[in-house]
Amino acid sequence: MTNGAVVRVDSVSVRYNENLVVDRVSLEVARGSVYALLGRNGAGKSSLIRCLLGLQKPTSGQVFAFGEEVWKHRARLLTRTAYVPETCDAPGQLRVSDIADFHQSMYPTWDSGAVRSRFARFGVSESAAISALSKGQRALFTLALALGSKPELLVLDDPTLGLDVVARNDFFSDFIGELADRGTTVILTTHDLAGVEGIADRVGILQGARLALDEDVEQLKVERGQSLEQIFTDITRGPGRQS
Amino acid sequence: MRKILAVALLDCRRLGFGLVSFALVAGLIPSLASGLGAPVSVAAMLVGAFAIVGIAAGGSFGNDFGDGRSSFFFARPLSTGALIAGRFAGFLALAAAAFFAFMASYWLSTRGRGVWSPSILTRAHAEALFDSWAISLFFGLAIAARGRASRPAGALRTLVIIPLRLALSLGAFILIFGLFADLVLRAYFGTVTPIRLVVGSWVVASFVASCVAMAAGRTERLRIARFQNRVMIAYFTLVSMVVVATWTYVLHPGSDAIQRVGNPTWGSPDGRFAYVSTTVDRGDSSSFQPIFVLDIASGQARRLNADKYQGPWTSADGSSLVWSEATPFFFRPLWRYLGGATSFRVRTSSGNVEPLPMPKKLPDFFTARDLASFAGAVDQVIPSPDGDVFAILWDRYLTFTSRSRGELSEIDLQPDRRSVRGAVFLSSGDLRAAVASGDSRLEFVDIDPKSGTSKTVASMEVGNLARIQVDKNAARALLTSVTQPGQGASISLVDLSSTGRATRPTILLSGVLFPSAVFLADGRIATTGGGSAGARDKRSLRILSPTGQLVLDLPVGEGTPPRLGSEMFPGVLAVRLSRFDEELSLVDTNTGAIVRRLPGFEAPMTFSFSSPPPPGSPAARLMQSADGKLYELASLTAEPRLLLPLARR
Repeated sequence: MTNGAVVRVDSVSVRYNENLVVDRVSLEVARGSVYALLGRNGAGKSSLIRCLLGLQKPTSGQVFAFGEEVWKHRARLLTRTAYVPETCDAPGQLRVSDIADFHQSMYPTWDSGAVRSRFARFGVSESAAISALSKGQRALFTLALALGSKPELLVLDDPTLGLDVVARNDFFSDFIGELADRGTTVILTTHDLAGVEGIADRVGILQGARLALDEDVEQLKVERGQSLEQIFTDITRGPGRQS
Repeated sequence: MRKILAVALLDCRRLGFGLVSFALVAGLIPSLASGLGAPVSVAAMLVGAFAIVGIAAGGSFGNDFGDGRSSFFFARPLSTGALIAGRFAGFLALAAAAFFAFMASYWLSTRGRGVWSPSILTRAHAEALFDSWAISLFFGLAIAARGRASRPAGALRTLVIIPLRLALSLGAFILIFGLFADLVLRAYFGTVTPIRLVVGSWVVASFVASCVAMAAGRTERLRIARFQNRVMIAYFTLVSMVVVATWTYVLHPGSDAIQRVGNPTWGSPDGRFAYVSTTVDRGDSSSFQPIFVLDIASGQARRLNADKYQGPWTSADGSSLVWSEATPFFFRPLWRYLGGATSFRVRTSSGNVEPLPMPKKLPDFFTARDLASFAGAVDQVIPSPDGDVFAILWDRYLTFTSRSRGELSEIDLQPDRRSVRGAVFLSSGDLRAAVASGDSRLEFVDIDPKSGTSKTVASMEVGNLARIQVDKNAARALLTSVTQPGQGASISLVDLSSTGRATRPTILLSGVLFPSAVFLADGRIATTGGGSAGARDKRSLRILSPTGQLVLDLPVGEGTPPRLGSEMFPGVLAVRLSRFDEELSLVDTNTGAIVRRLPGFEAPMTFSFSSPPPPGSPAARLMQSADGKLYELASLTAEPRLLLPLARR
């Protein structure tokens, strides 16, 4: 692993029956950087993210975080990692406070005060049932939970899905930027290319199950003289594989 | 521990309100049902309530693995073990809350008269809880993993491989289930242990499969499904091997497995063999009593693979033997449907074993009713001495079949409420049968097997007929009948040597307690009885002439009525002089002298229409000891020789 790399993906492949959705992907994410993993729908982003968190075992290859193999040491590594899924995965019949209590038992670094203040800021009532929250509120609630453990590594799987334009802009400019400034390593997948353009240090584009591009954003824009969106469109114009 | 409790608490918060509410309502049912006149057991209701709690908690756990919801737990610093332990702890807490809610509701609904104690809980409640939780977890997980995880298969795969796999799985399941059912119904009918073992192991295997699948698959549904399958396939493979091995071992004991000799045990008419009911070192002894055929001279015993109560039946001379082969009866309907042969077998005088042609409409398998009673569809098969013609008593019919000519004739006994009390083939080829009709009418008829026509040999009014015995040529019969309760019983002699109409039997004994009689080999008759009613202490052992005239009256003192055994040696009859004394006395039928006393022994039983072994033959000299052993007495002065069980090396 390169010095300073928090995450190393080493020739990872993911296959569902006959369907190869991630093909020998290798990448590294430096400490304190923001890595944007891009790709069309079904490109294998979510599968790769699940491997990265130890939620799923790669068909072949390995993923390391903080120098340890993720599949084997998932529970320990997740004390330093937080995850924001594409859709809220908390049981809908529970209240916001129930979930917060649960997280408090899970993380030694849990900051209840910070979580409460974020709930208040996002307009999320602690006594509300999860199922009663709007789609945007659920996304923000999940983000607040993820930040509550003060993670060293934050993994976000399309976190702005369901957010309106204002909330989306706030999300990218405020939270991600702030986290990066604090030294938190961020890996995110998104379709909001404009949003990540200003904050991502490095970008990876999955196309046809392979990692078609893995470069520094600034260097990429200098070399190609195009916006991230134009580069993405050029690379992914061909038909992508379905996962 | 903190994480386990956090998971448990989460589960309680999710399901607590619903399950406690349910338990409160369920607790009202026993008193409500009682008020409506349909009482419901509180303990049974609680079993049902616990099952619902288990299903809800287990199902909720499994369902959490659907549509990405499992990442809620696996994306947190929580090990799989802590997750399972937490969910189980939560389930136990929910069960405890449901129990207290149920009992409180029940107690209040009965205004405090209901029992309010944890002692109501039994093993059944624990099983209901854990089984329902584990099984619903397994199925919840399976449904969640397979919900939308499977992708559409190719046409070839769909059309060929999946049906093939299903057919093979179904076939394997039916095969193993059939063998298991066969094993249970034959060897473990009186116990639920094997069923409990299989069901229990299935529950445990399901739980293990769920745990392995969760640990190996985490949030990947395909992998969860794959590991669930692997564990269950391994389990079913193991169970199949155990079932096949157990079926083979338990149902096929050798003679070295015999532990006790029981009843019925009897000698063959030719005097060479003994048919021995046994208790062996496997199976449930109350339901599994395999029959061995013992060659007395050589001491070799071979198991006869016969269905219980379905043979063996011998011809009058012992040359032919019929039984129903104990094939796995679960498959018999299928076997017959596929054109397979009957399960009935005949061993002829040449020693060949062949299928016995049975009536076409006879169901050659156990029905559900037969399974419950363990009696077969056939009451008796009587082989002719030449081993070609067979009289088959079944249901309401008497059917004659021939190995060389097929089905010959059939008599429907139902119209006149007739029943065949016993029958034997004569040397002429006719079947002489004792047919009872109505309440008290008895006829002896000779039936021509070919045409089914019959002619009456003798007919008479009898009382409550208990037993009919015929002599070697079926020329005389002894009828034992009870007159009035408490008035004792009587034994009469009927002459069947000439065709007659109304016959008046010769009364040999009347008004005696526990009478018994046997034909001796030289034609004489031996009788015993406990004295006339009201004089119970006076007993008799009499020897009568072939026509019933008193020849010898032997005083045997006071005590319980004697019981006759067989004629072990020519002119020497085995008698138990007291029913409660375990001692066999050998009585000289010419002088009345007791020539030997054998403490601890009794004589094997004899059958009404079966010829006893010739006196002096090995089978006539058999004795059973009170501790379940079979002996042969070589001579009047010899020491008894142990035949079975075989001596342990």
